[in-house]
Amino acid sequence: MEIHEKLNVLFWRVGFYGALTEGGVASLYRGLLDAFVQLGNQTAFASSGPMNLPSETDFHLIEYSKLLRNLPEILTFPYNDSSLKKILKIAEKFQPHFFYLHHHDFHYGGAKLKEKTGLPFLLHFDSIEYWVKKNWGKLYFGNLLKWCEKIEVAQADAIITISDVLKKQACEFYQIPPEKVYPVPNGVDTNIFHPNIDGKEIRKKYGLEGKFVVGYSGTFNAYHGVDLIAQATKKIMDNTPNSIVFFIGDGALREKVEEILKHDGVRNKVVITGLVPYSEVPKHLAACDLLVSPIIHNHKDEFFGTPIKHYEYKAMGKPIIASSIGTLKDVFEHKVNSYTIEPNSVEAIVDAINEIYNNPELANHISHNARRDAELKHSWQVNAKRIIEIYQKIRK
Amino acid sequence: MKSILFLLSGNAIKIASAHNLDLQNCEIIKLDEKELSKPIKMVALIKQYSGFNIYFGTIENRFQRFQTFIKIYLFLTLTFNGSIIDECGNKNKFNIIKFLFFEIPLLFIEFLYSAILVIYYHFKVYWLKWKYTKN
Repeated sequence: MEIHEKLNVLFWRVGFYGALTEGGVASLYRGLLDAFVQLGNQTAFASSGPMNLPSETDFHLIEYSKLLRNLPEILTFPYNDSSLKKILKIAEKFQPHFFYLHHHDFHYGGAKLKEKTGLPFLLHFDSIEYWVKKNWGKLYFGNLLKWCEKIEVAQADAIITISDVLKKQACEFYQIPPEKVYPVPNGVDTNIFHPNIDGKEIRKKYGLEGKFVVGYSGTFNAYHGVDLIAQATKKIMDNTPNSIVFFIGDGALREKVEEILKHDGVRNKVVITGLVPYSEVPKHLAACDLLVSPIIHNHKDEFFGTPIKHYEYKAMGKPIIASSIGTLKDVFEHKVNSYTIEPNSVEAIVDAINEIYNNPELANHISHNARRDAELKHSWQVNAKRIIEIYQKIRK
Repeated sequence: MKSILFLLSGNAIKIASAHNLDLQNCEIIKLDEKELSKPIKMVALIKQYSGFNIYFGTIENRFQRFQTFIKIYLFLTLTFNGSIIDECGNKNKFNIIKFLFFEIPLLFIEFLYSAILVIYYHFKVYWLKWKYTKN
């Protein structure tokens, strides 16, 4: 029988994200905290904005200064000090065994909290912020950003990366000893995402009844490859009888996607839902006959992410077509739990969909294995147990 | 009069319902927050809809950044009936007196304070980096 001591765990999210309660980070903490609670632990969560968390979690809002809301980045600098005062009071009252900080740009508060309390410091590291700003956004105050990241990774007792690839990249970039970095990929709540969800209501709502529905769920941004699906749409509809592409989500590339679809004369033949509340995502995925994720590389570097949607796809027990790159090579195995394709190839997407359509036996086989994987390897409970193991290891 | 809702975040139906906006008579334009940092584009966009009721929609105004810049774009396009509205029913209406005598001076204070913060935190973080990484 598995026995572990009941822990008090303090989670701390420091990034400014407005009032958004949906998205990857929100899903991560909703799932992870629920798993910690299910395992009998006490949880507290401090954040700069609202969160939808399990009711058992003691939530604390630590807001950013209202004076600094018109210039990017700078608002984070004084937040290091103002949030520290508040988190110290929370820690004093809650008496955590350790704290789990979500890494954010220009933040070094984890090091300060550890210094002031002596608590073990676990740092959730989902990207090198310097790299992200340089390659995906705008990099201001680059040296300052690097110094902050160096402080946090130096002081963290354990660094939880979302993939092996990110572990390798982070260790090289900040000269972190590999033994203190633990890859723990994202996960899924297999009770919320499962194959028995009825998608009829959504099929009716969007006129998908009687069609072969090719689904894409997620943010419309560059590395998700959503524009590749848009480019493939006309060919998919020409090659696969009675098929329709169902885009679930929204984002910066929405305009580009719409332009491609209009150019190919298929805009009126596809459905784009726009942003869907997280609670509605399982029903939308259930309305699909197969799910596609043609992730592409991050610029010239290897793909380091582990998007939560991949685990949600797997938990739905649907056939999945996905790029096999970077970390995803560990998540998707060709013709075992998915149909993997080369990245950046419109033709590969079209051919894969056609093959799945024409081979129901293969579709069933990979769907069944995907669901089994989700239950055994990717549930949030598996991740919570792994984090507890890491804490127990560093405590020694 | 027809309304234009520039949707920065949140749900247009919830926002409209919280402010008794008639969605039949309202065009919704999705706007990425990043676009707010492009003055020429923003001014051109708002000018395109001059004569309409202009709204910027958010989930909750309390957590919405760049509100003074939105007001500047409204001022530059002489859109004095513009507002920033949210799902909770809050409304940050453009008011010329408040804009000129409170929000613009406050923005200057923010610029000044930010400049001091940039200098201060460069010294502070450099020292912290030395302290925390010297071993």
